[in-house]
Amino acid sequence: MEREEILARLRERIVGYAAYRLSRDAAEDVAQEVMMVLHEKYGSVSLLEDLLPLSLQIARFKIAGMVRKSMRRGEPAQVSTDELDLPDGRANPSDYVERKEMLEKLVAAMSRLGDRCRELFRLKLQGRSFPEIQKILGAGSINTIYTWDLRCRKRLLELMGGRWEGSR
Amino acid sequence: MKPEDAARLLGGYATGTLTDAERQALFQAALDSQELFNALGDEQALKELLEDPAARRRLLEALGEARRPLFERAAAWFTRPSTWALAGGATAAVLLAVIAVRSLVEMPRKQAIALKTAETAVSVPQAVEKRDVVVGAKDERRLPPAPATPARKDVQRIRQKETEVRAAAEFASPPPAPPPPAEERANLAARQEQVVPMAAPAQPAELKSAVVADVVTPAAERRGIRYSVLRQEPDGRYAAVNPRAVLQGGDRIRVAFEPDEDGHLYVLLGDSADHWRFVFRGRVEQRMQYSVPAEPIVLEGPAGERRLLAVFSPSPAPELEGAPSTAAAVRLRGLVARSKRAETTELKRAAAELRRESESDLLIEAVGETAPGKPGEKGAYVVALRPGPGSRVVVEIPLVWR
Repeated sequence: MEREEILARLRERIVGYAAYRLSRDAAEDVAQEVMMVLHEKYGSVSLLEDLLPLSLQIARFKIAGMVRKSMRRGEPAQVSTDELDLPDGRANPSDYVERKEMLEKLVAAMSRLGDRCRELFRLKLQGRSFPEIQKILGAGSINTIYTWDLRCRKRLLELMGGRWEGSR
Repeated sequence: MKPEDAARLLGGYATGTLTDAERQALFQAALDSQELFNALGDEQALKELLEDPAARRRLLEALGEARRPLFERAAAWFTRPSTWALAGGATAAVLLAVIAVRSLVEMPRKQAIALKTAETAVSVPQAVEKRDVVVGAKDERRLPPAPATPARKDVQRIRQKETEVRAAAEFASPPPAPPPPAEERANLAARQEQVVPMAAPAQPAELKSAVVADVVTPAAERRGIRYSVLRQEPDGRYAAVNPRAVLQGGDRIRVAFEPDEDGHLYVLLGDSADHWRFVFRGRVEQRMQYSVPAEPIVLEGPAGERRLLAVFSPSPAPELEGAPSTAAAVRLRGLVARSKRAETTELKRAAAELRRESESDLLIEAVGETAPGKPGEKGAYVVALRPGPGSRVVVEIPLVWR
């Protein structure tokens, strides 16, 4: 698939994704900003497996910026999302606290999982691939592992309250 | 793959568990399905959290050790020293209790006999003394520490002597043999699948120094890192190959590093024209594996050689912190008029210095099919021989293909 085609389809998906958190207009804006960043800064990236995670990362950041902006509306010191850029890797106090809370919730939720799920997550966090996990756990087929993982993830998400991160 | 089938792969996205084929299938399905794309978007927060090595380590600690089969757990319990100590202690306690009870039971009888016969009178104080021993054993914790017995003194003397001998051996040992010339090392690299020591071969003198260092230097002061060369297999997975293996044109390579303590890792990739660029730079956590670069190095052409320079240091390396990374250069583009040539020269100079540094004070042991190590393990352990809190590991990793 060509880069332009991938970008066109990604744009459509990003609008849909942002629209269930923001208004339709704001979602269009987010998608447009993501496309601009991809175009200006990542012009050389053309593979789907690179473009999709990148676009999700940018979209998430832009959405967070918009949500924060709307929360601050009415205050004199508004921050335009146009001035926000991709995270530079350094900790931002707000992100730091959110991540810390999320980590603690994850730790608590994982401790309530069953043995098999805990073992599955442990292997995944160690960087094992699904075929490797299949061998280690002695499962008959890779589909069994996919199914176990789906159920475990679902259970973990339930224990986390239905969302990985707190409401922004 | 249908969206509902691809959805089963969602759990592998955040943890980086997916193979290339699985990622491709998931992403393709996400482009076709808004629901799946939204789910992926929600996973992004978890993915970013799990990309932080500290968070990953915290979760792994919370998840604890692997659950092993009952038989293995029982076997492990029986082989634990504390188990034997506990069993020995319990046996000794039972024996003492039996002796005490027997003494108490026999004492009145002995006392009665003592009234009748003069010589048995001695046995009463003996019995009382035994009781005192038993009762005293309970209060042993409250007693002051026992003075050094002759046996303890001997042990101390022997240990002191051993330390003196080792220190003398270290002083008298010749300096480490110089590393072989670069040409010779290149020849060594050309041997297919043959495991040999890396850039600084472990000469007997060095090994001796290492052994002495092992004894004299506390382990905490020595610094080490493990690395393995990973080659992408046809199924998309990466498999470790012998670190000195001659690779093939078209191979896609990554290198996994695992430091033995927290610190800073810098990895530079150089080409035949001696141009260097960062492929990794950042803080690393002990016992975590870092596979770099994010995109594999493609060995193009029928034959060639590329080099990786890895620096592992407990504190930031000033000469490398100043040089901008590719990502930083992207951010700075248009804002800072930094000459590309100056960057290249700066990195080239740093790389030359590092290559010189990498040729000394290192002990490198490759493990593989023909060398000792864990079964099936392929990798290399690099230890800085010069101890001290500021010491660092600088290792050059050649990637040779034919």
